[in-house]
Amino acid sequence: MEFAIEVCNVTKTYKIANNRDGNTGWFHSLVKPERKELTAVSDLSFQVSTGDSVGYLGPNGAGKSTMIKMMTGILVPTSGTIELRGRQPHLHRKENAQHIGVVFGQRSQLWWELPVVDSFELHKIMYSLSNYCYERNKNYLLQVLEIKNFWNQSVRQLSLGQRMRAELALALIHEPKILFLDEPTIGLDIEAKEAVRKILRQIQSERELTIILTSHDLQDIREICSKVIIVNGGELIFEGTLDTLRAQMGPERRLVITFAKPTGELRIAGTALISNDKFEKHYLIQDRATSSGNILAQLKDIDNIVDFSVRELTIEEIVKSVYRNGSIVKCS
Amino acid sequence: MFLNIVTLSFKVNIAYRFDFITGIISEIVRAVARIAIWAAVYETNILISSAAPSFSQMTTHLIISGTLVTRWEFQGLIRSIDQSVKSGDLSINLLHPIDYPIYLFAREVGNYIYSVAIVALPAVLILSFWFDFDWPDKFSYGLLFVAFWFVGFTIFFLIACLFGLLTIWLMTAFAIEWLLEALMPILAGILVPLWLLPEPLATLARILPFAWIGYYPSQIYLGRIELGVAWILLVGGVLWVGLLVCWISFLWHRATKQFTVHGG
Ligand SMILES: Nc1ncnc2c1ncn2[C@@H]1O[C@H](COP(=O)(O)OP(=O)(O)O)[C@@H](O)[C@H]1O
Ligand SMILES: [Mg+2]
Repeated sequence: MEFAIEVCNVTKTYKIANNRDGNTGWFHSLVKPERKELTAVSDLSFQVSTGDSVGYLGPNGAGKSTMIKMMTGILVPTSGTIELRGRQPHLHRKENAQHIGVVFGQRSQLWWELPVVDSFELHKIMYSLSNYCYERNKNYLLQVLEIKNFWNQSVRQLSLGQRMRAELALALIHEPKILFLDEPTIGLDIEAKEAVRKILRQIQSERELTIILTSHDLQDIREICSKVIIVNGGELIFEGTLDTLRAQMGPERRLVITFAKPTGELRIAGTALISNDKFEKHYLIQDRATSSGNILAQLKDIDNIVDFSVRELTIEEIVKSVYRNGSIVKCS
Repeated sequence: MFLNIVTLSFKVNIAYRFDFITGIISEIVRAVARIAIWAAVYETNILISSAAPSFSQMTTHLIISGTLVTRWEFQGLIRSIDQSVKSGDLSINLLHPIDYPIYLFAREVGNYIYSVAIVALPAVLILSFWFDFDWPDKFSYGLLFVAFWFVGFTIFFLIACLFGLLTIWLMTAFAIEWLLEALMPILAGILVPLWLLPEPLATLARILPFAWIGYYPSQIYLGRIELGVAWILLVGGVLWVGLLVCWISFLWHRATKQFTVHGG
């Protein structure tokens, strides 16, 4: 099996200024700034096979963006090695540029004040695309990403969802082999998120594309990726398929009930009470046997319920659940 | 690739910039103000000496150095370097298969060609009907002027680029812009020709690269420099280009290292 990316014992530490407390702290930090080391990625190893789609999941500050930056070559690991198609990315930035596409959810690669089309024209020039290749990819992406309507509109007038679709198209216009997406759905509403996921699924199925996608939303990964890596505090805590993760986490979901009147402790069979507020209680549905029907039947007799919902676990809860449910899987 | 980016940048200016009328008017107003000051000086006859240029030569110098060759908004470059540093986009620019400084140069050449062709040349044409304006006497000086113009803009870009990169370590983009805005007209001998500056400032200004941006091109245009000296100056300008390129490569190397190793 050929690997698109091999990450081997990679650590990244940042040196950050450590502002001292107190009234004279600013003075000290001006004269002799105290530096502190922060480990954003800690001794991490994994491989990504060609054609795979890998979800890189973790809470805020887990080191996801740091890892993406190292894999794309714009950040150098403090120790360990990364190989992208057999080459260290930060040493072969320009050659790799032709083979990778990168989207940072919180940054734009589009020419802000100009129509979308101009950014594409610039990319065509920078990546030395032939007219034929450019037109073919453009037509495909315009259609799949539904960009036609705002193709001539200035980027700053676009909605976040439209902008993200344009960013995706721009990252794909030069037919990269590997696509890096750093939180591509961040800040989008549910509908726009859904659109982005659908498009990524389609492109993944139609093109031989390796995708690395970071997110703190399990839903993104569930719909797009076949493999999951979960990181927390810079450390790898899970690596495997979605099915393995599911098996390890159990079918955990969260039940949230809102009450009209202050209500005391209330037990519901098949769930664990995890947050006991007078007006809002949270339950963890852990048991496979607990069906929604079962829960509904129990709630039926309780008056003063204003609302209830069953929610996906947040990334923090997933992390907890992975820790709780035993062995941290570390493949090498 | 370089020329394609220049062309694209020029086309983008043509397509979306509609402020050229105000640009032409403001260039004319500024030139008229400069000429008016010198008209007052010439009335007092202070400058009567064999070395002093005629009033029409002075007018031509003011128009060529102030309106034509320096018609470039360097603030745009400094701001885009500053912005990409502050927002962390500098790293993103490393992801493209082209060196960022080269991309910036191509883009700014496009902007400059637009400014010169659409704003400065019409303004110069109007001013040339209004005031006594000299056209080059000799073909050789005309050709040399074009060479100096080219070298001068390259130096202008490189100086702005250097100042822009300094924002990474030194101060705010505003301070840098002000500094450059203050230095440029004096050291490039635009409002006050360099031979009128007090020594040792005059000698210093003749050696510093700013002189190649405005002063030498206009003096060449007027044929006020002997051909032999002109060639030496041209070589001097090319040496400055080389020196600035080295300096910028060094800073650029440091900047990318800072961003890729320390993360900004
Ligand atoms: N350029 C930087 N300098 C210093 N610390 C940084 C820098 N970038 C990120 N960090 C820190 O490293 C940790 C991981 O950050 P990041 O990779 O952005 O996480 P994520 O993308 O998962 O939210 C965080 O604690 C963050 O504050
Ligand atoms: Mg991030």
